[in-house]
Amino acid sequence: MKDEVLKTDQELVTAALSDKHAFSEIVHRYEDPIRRYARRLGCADGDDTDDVLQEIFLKVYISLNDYDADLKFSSWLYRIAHNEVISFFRKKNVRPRVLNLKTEDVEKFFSQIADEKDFVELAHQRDDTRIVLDLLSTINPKYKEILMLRFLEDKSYTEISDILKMPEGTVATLINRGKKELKLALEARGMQNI
Amino acid sequence: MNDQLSNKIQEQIEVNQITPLPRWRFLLLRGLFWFLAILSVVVGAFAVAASLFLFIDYHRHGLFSVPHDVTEILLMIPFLWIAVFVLFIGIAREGIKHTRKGYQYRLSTILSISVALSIILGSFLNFFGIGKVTHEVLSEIPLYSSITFDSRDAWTRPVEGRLAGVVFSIRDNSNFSVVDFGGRVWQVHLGTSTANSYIPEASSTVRMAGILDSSSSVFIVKSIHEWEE
Repeated sequence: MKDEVLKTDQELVTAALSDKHAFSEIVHRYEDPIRRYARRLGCADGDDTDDVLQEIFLKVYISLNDYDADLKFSSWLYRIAHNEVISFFRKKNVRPRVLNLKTEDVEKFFSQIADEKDFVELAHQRDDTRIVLDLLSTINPKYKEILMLRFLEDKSYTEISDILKMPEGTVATLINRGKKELKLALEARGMQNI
Repeated sequence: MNDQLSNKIQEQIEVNQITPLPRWRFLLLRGLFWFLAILSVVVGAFAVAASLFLFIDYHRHGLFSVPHDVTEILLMIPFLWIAVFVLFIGIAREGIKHTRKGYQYRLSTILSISVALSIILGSFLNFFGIGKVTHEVLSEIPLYSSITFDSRDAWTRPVEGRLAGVVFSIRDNSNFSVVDFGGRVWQVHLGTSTANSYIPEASSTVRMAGILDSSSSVFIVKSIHEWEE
């Protein structure tokens, strides 16, 4: 197992293609981040998230020969995770729960975004999780998703581009628009920037 | 380390005998998207070639210097080819978006390149006569010919003052007969106010602007030109 931990993602993919048991290491390595990501996209804790995770990793296993090393494996896996979560909600014919974020998610989100000069005031409000969640809930879902990838999943613009299959320029535009909407939501609540 | 999930997945793999799809499946799918994108650009090029042919044909046969009613003006705009062009450029864009790296390019970049390639290739095709061939082959289809308007149609409208055809019987310098592109015979008179001094020869093909005398059914010519093939 120690040897498996030291292997790169590419090496694990190659191993899993010839030995299905080697795929378990990929699951171990990515279970926690993908579970968090699925939850943040709106999956309820418990059975829903477990079901989605199974679907995601089975899809990853079936599609292993589609992976090319010029793409980060995590970006490729996140792409599959994103698509499977969307499919999951479509199959269940329900809308995703709006932001299934835990307190530590909110903390992290605003510590990241508060580095942006326009959001200092927002950072001061982050003790009131409900207000902050309300604010996040008001913005357009496509901005919310991309802000989560940027500020919660710590993905770079290139990684977000690969995950959501859109140009990097579009990623930057959507992040800026998302921040503007957040700022407007701030101002609507009478919170001014310092 | 929690093995519950990985154990469940291994169980699913074993029970359902799941295996990774072979690589050729993914390569085939990628190839199909590229093929779709390229095919769409080529079809767009044919649309450009046919449109260019029609435009040049109208110009060569003087259609831009004679009056038309609204219906004719609308028919002269190659709506069908414009629609085909727009549709297939859209398909090209979707095809490229689904290739391995295609999503990295902005919509404006993909569309610009697709449009430019279609226009360049279409101009090339038209230069070698493919635009004309495309139009003529499709003209055999009644639906196509009912919504396009070529210069032969335009110059077989004596009531609107446009007549073209083959000269077959010359009585004197001012009077002769013409069989139009629809096979109908007309008596023609070169009026004293005929703008140019072109004298037609037997078996030559000509186009004439003028007025149809409704009482005598003689077409009185105001201007006459050789018909360019």
